[in-house]
Amino acid sequence: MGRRGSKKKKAQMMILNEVKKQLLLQAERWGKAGYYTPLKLEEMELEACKRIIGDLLAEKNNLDYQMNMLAENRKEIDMKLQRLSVYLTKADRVAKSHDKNIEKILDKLIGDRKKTLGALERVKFKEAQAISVLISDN
Amino acid sequence: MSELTNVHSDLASAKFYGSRSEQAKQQEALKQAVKQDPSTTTGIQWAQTQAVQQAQSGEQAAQVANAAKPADAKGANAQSESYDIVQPNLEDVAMLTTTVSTNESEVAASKAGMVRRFVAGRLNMGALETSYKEYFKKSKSHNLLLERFMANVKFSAMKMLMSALGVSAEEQVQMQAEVREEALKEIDSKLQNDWAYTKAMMDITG
Repeated sequence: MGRRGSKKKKAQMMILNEVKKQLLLQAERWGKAGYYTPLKLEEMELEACKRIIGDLLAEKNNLDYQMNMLAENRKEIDMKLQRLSVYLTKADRVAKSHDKNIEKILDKLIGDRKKTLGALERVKFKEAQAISVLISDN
Repeated sequence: MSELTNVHSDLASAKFYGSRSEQAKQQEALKQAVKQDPSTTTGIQWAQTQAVQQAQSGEQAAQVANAAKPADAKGANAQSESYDIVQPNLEDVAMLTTTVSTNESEVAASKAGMVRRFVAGRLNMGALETSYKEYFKKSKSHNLLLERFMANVKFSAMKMLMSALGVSAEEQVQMQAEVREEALKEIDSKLQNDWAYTKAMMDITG
């Protein structure tokens, strides 16, 4: 990708950021100030990414069928399949990056993960004990 | 001398009371046989009057009448015809000279919301509600100057108008809640479908 392409991408990203900013501002004015957190936005992006992966896979199946059943334009279909596989690997990578981002945000929210997990286990153990006591009483 | 002055005063009082009684009699004797003839062009109503003057009895009265109106004393039962514009009745004069309402409909207490219902019947309430919702939605816009300020002004005006037309505060709050839900749904769908999808697509294909 040349300098022209990167400029175009930069401009597109700026527009997208502006759209996001305006939508979040509107939501804030409607009284949902804290609803669209970074975590929520990351989840949205991950969901969209998964949807795109589903669409790509459906297209790949379609092209595979055309490749196997129809004899026309095999070269073109082959090129399309190659392109699709590239997109699919990229989409997987993007989805993983979003997953990582979500984990990071959750870690920030939770704090020390080991301590939280230990506390959770203790709470579960206490609940199980209370249930066993209730059963023995009955 | 004193007798002479007494005679003078008696004559003067007799003249005075005689003229008063003559006037009253003349008024009683005047009978108007009204034949109304409305003009077609101006709407003025003309009346043909017949004035009947009865013969006066009594010497003093006759003297006074002769002194006051010498031309009228032509004989008994003198009649004269003339045309006059129909004068308003006493009731009409009372209506003109007073500001107090005499009709029952004017005096009766006005029914509540009659004007409002009349105006609301003439206006398209559906269109008003739509514009009310639209201005309320625009008043929450991100654009400060162009959209939000003007929309706020318009929304305030619409609010006043709706209140004047009898839309209660509860109904207005309900409408606002509907608009809020719609707007939030729209924002959510835009964020999910437009922004997130486009960004993910750009990340993948770009």
